[in-house]
Amino acid sequence: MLITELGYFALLAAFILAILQVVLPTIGVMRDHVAWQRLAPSLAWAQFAAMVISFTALMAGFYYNDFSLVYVTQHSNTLLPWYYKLSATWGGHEGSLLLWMTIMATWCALVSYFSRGLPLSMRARVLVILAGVQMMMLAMLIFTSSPFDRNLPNLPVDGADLNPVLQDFGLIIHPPMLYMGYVGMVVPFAFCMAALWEGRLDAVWTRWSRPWALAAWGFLTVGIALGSWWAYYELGWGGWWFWDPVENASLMPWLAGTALLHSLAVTEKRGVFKAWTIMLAIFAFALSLLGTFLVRSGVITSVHSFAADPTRGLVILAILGVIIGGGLLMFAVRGWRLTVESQYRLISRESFLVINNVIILISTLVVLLGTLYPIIADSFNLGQVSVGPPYFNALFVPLTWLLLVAMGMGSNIRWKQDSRPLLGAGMVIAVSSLVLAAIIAYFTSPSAMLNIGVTLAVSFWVLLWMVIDFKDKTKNAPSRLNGLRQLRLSYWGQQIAHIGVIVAVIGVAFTSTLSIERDVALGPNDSVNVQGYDFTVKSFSEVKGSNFDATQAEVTVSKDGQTVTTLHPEKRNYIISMMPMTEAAIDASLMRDVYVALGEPIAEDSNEWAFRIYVKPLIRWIWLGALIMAFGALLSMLDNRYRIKKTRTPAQIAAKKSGFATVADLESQAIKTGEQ
Amino acid sequence: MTTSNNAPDKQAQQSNKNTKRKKSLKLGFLIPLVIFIGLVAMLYMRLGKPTDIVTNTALERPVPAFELPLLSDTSRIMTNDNLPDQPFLMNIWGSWCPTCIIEHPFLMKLEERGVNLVGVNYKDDIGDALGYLNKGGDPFSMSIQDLSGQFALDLGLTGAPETFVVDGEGIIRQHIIGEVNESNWQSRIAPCLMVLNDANNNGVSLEPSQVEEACQ
Repeated sequence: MLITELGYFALLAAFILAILQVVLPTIGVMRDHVAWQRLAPSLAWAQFAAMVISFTALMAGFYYNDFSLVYVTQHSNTLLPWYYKLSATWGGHEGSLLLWMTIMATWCALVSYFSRGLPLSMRARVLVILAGVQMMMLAMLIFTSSPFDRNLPNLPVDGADLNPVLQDFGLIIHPPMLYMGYVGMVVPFAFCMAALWEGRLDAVWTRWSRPWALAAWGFLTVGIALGSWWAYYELGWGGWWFWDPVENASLMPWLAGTALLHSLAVTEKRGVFKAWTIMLAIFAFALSLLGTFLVRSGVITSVHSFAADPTRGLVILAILGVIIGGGLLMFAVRGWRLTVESQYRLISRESFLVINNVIILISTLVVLLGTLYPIIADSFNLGQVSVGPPYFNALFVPLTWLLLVAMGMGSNIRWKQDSRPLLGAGMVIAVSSLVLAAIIAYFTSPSAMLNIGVTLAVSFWVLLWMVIDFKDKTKNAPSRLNGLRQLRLSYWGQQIAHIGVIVAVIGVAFTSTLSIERDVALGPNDSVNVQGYDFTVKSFSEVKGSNFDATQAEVTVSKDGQTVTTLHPEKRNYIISMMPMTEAAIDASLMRDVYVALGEPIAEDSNEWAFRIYVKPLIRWIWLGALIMAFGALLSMLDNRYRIKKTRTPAQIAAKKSGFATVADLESQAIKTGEQ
Repeated sequence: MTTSNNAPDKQAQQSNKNTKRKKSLKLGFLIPLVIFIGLVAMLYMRLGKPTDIVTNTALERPVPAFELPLLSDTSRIMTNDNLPDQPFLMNIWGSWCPTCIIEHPFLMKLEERGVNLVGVNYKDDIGDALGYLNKGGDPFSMSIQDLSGQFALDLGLTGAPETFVVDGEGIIRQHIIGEVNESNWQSRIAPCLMVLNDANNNGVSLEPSQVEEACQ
């Protein structure tokens, strides 16, 4: 089909534009040619347009069943519903890489749009670095894994099936969100590199890059939550996190990104920890690239892995080496010159943010070590020891508690030095949160006092500190409402994100300690009681989908004689791939999920089936918490101090007053900002 | 006089100290780069190595001695004598391992095809493990419980799931890391098992080169 050919040309065009976007503005920066520097934003837009065309063309190839493309043949067929055809575009290695780069181009275009107020030399440098990353990734896509390769001359009549696990709403939305976050980590990285390159010793660039870091982090948060939610309802085993290498690959940049956000806050406000912040920005992006490498190179086996290919692995590793190695080299050459602009005492927010950063960094290293352990052990001949969820849980849970303890204090304490008598207040808060937690844990879960109790205690600790902080921040206002209204948007964002953390942590603690799971064999009209709910099987029926056959059970759930809901779990058999899939039926609510999955028939001729029934308290809180965190990030991002105002020359102000600006004015201003 | 003589000296010392500190500071900023280069080198060495089949110390030697309880009845202790005297697959699994869940239906298929599977339940809660087998079916002729992970460590386990092909004399012949599926079954495991079965049925012992050829 012609349109897919157009997609290939657009991809090549994007590659050439990316090369130009690296070369021309670089020459402009080296030789001080303002006009050449100003090419960067235009090239970013052109490259964005080319990527969108290319991506849309591949999507069209899927929509119109263009089986002349190898990639379409491998991941789609005529029976697939249209929306899965479209989302199958990113169901495999090549297409998901194309999505990666399209998103990269999107970030590039967004940066060039929102950075109009930046000094031109900085803007050009940022865009050069972004384009440099994009250029290398595009080279890999085009030369090692093009999704536009043809099956010529013998076209197949129909394609293979998309993996049934991927035929789900989750695939439509989870990868784009996750990639927005993953790839978005490149923007703070680019700002850091540009600042080092330009030799900026101040901390102004942190203010410019903070909203980008927040945006990327917010997307990553939502992406990870969606992935976890997808695994929960689609795999049919009731788990929501498996410590799988690929899940870890998305968690690590998130953790590093969290540390980065906090470090950026200190650097922006107080001008300290500059080198540390740059280090974290490099680290966060390095972990994003490392994730891409781990998933696609086959060095680690995982459920999520794409077809492994060492050549691709080598290319991604080379890219990782050049980008991150280059970044670290720049850091080594220039970083030590960064200045420290202020002092702080032991009891200050700075100190607490250091503690926070150290804890988060340790957590990141725990995950990194666990994920890479097979590789590390292999290269040091340490013998072969496996690392599984027990390792992660044993280390991650106490670290999270510790982090919350620091979070409660840290977000309340003042910058530079806090001389308020905090010890007394702290004692009162600590005791009251311990007592409250003990009481609640005793009544809800005497069997798992410790886990629930400690989690609740640290949660109350954070919340009580938060209340005190709100009081403190509004005490000078004429009325409380007035005071609340005067708080900055970024302050609200911070507090809301912290509440999100608490909500998610409580959800995790309750779900993992108090979930009830029961396996039973049930026939029509059989009934079982789990955790106060009566589950009654009404009937079994055969259902046909467009590309699968299924057996569906009707199960009514009732409590104390009142019907709560009717669930329809399914066992599907996909026609083309012959794969069986369990479609669990879930009754979701804020306080608990009731989850019914259909197993296998007990015997060939009986009408009894195996059922898995779960009652999971507070599991929704995990994802709700993630959404709240992302909302907090959004609020902080919208704070008006991040809106970059263009500095105007007096001539321009006069011109604006009189209603027009001459071309000469604009030129002179451009030169001025270029010189800055 | 003395003070005026000492002052520039001190200053020189001070500046000397400063440059020294600057130098060590500069070196400090190199540390991340060095660590990173090490990591990349490590990843490079790993590239292209087949991660699903390994030829390592676990091969060509007998199944390590064990005395472990039977999963379905932990009062019964199993030893090497209880292993089948026909070639079989020894699969290490756990209910906590997501890839095991993916692999499980294929193990059920293998059992239908008459393959003898012995399970090693690795670092698992017994309730979860039995629940797992109830849910997905039990493809194993028997499962032994390795609570501490010591036996799996002796076997040379790198993670779960992993599968060992053992011949009729209790010698490990092949080690598969990660899931067993139709493709590596057809291409690598089935040929190996076939040769071992033939040898076992005819009562001949195989030349190492023959085994190597069939069980790469």
